[in-house]
Amino acid sequence: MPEIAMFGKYWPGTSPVHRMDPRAKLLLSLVVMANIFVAQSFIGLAVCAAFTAGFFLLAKIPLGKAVRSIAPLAFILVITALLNVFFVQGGTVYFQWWFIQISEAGLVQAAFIAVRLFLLLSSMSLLTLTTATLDITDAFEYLLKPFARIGVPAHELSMIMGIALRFLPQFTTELQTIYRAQISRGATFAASPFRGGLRMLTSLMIPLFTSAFRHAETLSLAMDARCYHGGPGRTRLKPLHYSALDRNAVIVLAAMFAVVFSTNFIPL
Amino acid sequence: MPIAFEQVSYSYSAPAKKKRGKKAAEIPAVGDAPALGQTDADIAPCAADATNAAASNAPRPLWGNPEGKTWALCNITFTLEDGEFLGIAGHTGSGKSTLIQHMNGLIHPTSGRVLVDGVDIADKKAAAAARSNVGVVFQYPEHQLFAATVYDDVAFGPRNMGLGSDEVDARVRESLAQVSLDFDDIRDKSPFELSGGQQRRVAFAGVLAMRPTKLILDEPVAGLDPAARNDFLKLISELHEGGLTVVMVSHTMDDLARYCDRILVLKEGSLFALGTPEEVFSRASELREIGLGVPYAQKLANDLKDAGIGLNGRLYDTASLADALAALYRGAEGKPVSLDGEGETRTAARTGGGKEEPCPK
Repeated sequence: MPEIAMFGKYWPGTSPVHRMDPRAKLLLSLVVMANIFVAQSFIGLAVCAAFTAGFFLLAKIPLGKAVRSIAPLAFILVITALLNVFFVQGGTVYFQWWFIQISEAGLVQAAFIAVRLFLLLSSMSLLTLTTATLDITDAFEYLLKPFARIGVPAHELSMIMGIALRFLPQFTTELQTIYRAQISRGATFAASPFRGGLRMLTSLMIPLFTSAFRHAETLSLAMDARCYHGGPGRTRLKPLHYSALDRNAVIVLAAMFAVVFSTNFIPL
Repeated sequence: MPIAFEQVSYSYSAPAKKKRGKKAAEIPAVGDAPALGQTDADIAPCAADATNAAASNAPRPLWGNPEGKTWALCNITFTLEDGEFLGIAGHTGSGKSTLIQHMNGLIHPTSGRVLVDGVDIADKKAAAAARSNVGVVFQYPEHQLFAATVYDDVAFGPRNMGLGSDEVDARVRESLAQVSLDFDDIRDKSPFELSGGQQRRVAFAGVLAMRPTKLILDEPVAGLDPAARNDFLKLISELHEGGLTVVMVSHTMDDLARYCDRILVLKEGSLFALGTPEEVFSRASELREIGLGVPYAQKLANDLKDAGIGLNGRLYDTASLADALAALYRGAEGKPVSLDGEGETRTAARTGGGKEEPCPK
C-alpha cells in the first residue's frame, strides 16, 4: 500500500515560524489568505508569492516538501482552472468546437485563479507544516473561548479535533496491517468494484471500524480513569505566550497588506 | 519447498527497484553464480549504513535501531527447510515483522532475493502463488475478522482462491476442526460475539483453510491468558507434527526453546544468531546485551554454572535441570562440595539440590 500523502504534515523545526505562538499563527495565516484575496492583479499575486516564498524560507521547509504537501489537493486547482477556461468568455477566441469555446479572458482568468489557489493552499499548509496538531487545537480552543458564553462547547470541539487528528496516523498503520492480512488471504484489491470487489472493501472497512470503536472505548476509559471532566478549571502544562516574534509577524503582514493593496492601483 | 533468503536487505526509504518482469524471469533459480554476483553489487549500501551509524557518535536509543538507520533488514541469508519449526527472536524494532512479510511477498527486498521453492517471488504471479502456500497470521489476527458469520470469514481465503462451493465448505469444516471449534455450533455466529480466544481460533482457521504448507505466526500467543496460551501453543505444535512448516515470532524464550528446531535471532536488522536452541541460548550474555533473555531454567543453570556448580553447558528445561541438579547433589552427598571451595557456592548447590530432592527419580 502506498504511503498516504498528508496535507501539511508537521515538519519539526526550530525556525522563527515554528516558535511563534500558535494562536498568532492561526490568526495571521488567515490574514495572509485575506492578503492574497486583496491582490487583484498578477503583480499583486507576484508580491504575495514573494512573501509566501519568504515565509517558507524563514520556516526552513524544503521546497520539495512544501510542494508535495499540497499535491493531494492539486486536483481542486486543476478543476477550478478548467472551469474558468471553459466558462469565462471574452476577448480573442482561440478555439471553438461545438459548444466549447476557449477565449483569452478565460485563459487569463484560469491562470489567475490557479496561482491564487496555489498561494492559498501553500500558505494554509505552512500553518500545519510548522505547528504541531496539539498546538493548533489549543489555539483553536483559545480563540473559540469568547463564544463559550453563548453556548459554543469550545473545549469539547477542540478536544474532538485533537483526538481525531491524533488517530489519523494510527488508523493509517492499522489499515495497512489489515490490508496486508487480507492480501495474505488471497484478497485482490485491484479487481473491479463489482464481482466481489465490494466484499474486498468490507474486509478492510469492517475491521477498521471495529478498531476505531475499540480505540474509542479504551480512550474514554483512560480519560475517565484520569478524572478528565473537560473545560472549566483545567490548567495547562505549557501555557501559551505571545512573544516579540508574533509582534514582528504582525508588522511583516501589515507591510505585506500595504504593498499588495497598493499594487491594485498600478494601472496596467 | 524451502523458502530461501539470499542477501536480503530492505529499506523503508528506498523501495525496491522495478527490475522485474522479463529480466527477473530470465534469471535462473537457486545458486546461479552471475545472479549472485549481481546481488553482491547491490548489497553494499546497508553495510555502509551500519558502519556510518556506528561511526557517528549520536546518542543511541535504548532499544531498536539507532537513529538515521534506514535499513530494516541487512543481508539476511538463510533457508527455511521443509517441516522445521523455526523461531524468530529479536528486540522491538529489530526487523522481525519485516522479515516475515518477505516470506509471502507482501514486501519485496530492496536488494537480494527471496526464493520460494526456487522461484523468485519478486514476480507478482509467483507472489500470488506463494500466498496460498505460505499462510501468514499477523499479530492479534482477531482484529482482522470482518464477515457477518464465522463461516464466511473462514471461507474468505478459499473463495479468493477461486474454489468451488463444495470445496470451500469442506475446507471450512476441516480448518475449524483443526482449531478445535465445533462447526455446527459456531458456523452461523458472528465472529464479534465470540470470546477473544475463540476469535483468534477463527482467524487461525481462516488462514488454515487455504491449506498452506507453511505457517508464519507473528506472536501468536500475545495477549492470551495462561490457559489459552498453552492451548494455542499445543495447537501450533500439533499442526507442526501434522507436517506444517512453522515459523513463530515470539518474545517468550521459554516457548521458543520448547518448540523450535532452530532459532533465528535478529539484531538491528542483521542476522545475529541462527542455530538450535542449545547453540543460541548458550550465548546468554551476548543475548542479554541485545535486550533478549534466555529461558528461565537455562538462566538458572547459567547462573549456577557461573557460581561454580558443575553443570555442562547444554540446554536445560525445568525437568532436565532438576534431574541434573539432583544427580549432582547425590554425587556430592557425604563429602563437601568439591567443585569450588567457596561457602556461597555450597549453599547454592544445597538449596538447588535440596529443592529437587522430593522428586522421586
